[in-house]
Amino acid sequence: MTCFSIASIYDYLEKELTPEKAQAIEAHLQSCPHCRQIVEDRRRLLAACHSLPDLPLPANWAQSVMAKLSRLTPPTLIWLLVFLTSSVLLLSSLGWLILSFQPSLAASRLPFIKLVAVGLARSVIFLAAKIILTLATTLQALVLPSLFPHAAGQNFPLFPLELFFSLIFLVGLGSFFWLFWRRRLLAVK
Amino acid sequence: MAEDQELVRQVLAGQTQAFEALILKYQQPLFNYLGRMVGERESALDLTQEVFLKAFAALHTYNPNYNFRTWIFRIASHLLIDQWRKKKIPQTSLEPPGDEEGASNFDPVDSRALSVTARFEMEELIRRVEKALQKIPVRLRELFLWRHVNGLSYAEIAEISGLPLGTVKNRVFQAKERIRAFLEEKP
Repeated sequence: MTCFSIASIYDYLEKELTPEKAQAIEAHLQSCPHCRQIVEDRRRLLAACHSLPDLPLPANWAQSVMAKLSRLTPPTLIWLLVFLTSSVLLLSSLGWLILSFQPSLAASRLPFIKLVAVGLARSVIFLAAKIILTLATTLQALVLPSLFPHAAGQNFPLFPLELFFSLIFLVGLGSFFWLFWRRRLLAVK
Repeated sequence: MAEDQELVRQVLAGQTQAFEALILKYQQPLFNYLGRMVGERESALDLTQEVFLKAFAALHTYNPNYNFRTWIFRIASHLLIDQWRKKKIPQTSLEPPGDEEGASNFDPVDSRALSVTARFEMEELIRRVEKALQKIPVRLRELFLWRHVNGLSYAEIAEISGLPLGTVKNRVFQAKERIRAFLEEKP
């Protein structure tokens, strides 16, 4: 009878064979010292592989992971803040768009909405303008009037509002960066 | 296995502490695997921790009809590949534990049945297998570890790796024969 392959001998040792094939190997081993040697050799190897020691973990390691998990759970307040700032930013963009393209609305009888919308819109523009001005003041004359013609001739005494909404904008921006970082950390493929 | 599903259900129901039981159950198998895939002990610990953080964050996506063990090992494997791509961690194995450290964890198969000489020989063989592991390619080493250190079935390994069953068996076979070839070299 021909000898079995080494892959089959591994399967035999790992009990991966059907009972019939395992019996066939056992019958062959009775009469083949060469295969008996291979079986003993691989049996020792597998015994050593299965006896590789555990790599030692620090004491109370599971508890330290649990402590980190509790810190990762986002507080509800932060989620609420993120939601609110997102809404505020969205509304401000909408307000600015409406006022830019519908000047008649700006002159309508909605002083409160106008105040909020213009304040929010200008706070965003204020920040963007600051950045642009710092980077290239020469672009100011070219870019700002052409982008915001309606705001150019107006004079809204809303500087404190701009500052307030600028802060909200920065918090919102920070929240989004924080969310982005957290998603990167926790994203699972 | 049903125990894992029950623990997952509890965590998703708000009993976060139930996750600790899953950590306690899988910390050692995952660290044994990641520790032998990664070069440094600290990196391996960080990686093992990140596996649990990711698993916790993605627990709602876990399908209880499937094996939790294969799910968490798949997270570990993907994370490892991700870290290698970013070159954040090396690809060499940890040095095997020193004699004093390893002695407490070391429990060879049928060790009590072996004579003193045979036991010494087995310990020496284990030490050399550990060294040989460092020399085989990572794609073989990973499958070998899952099979012979973590005790996963070939079907489970195929599920984790996404490889056909035949390929998995063939690669594990190659890993064993390469380790054996290293053992034949003079120590």
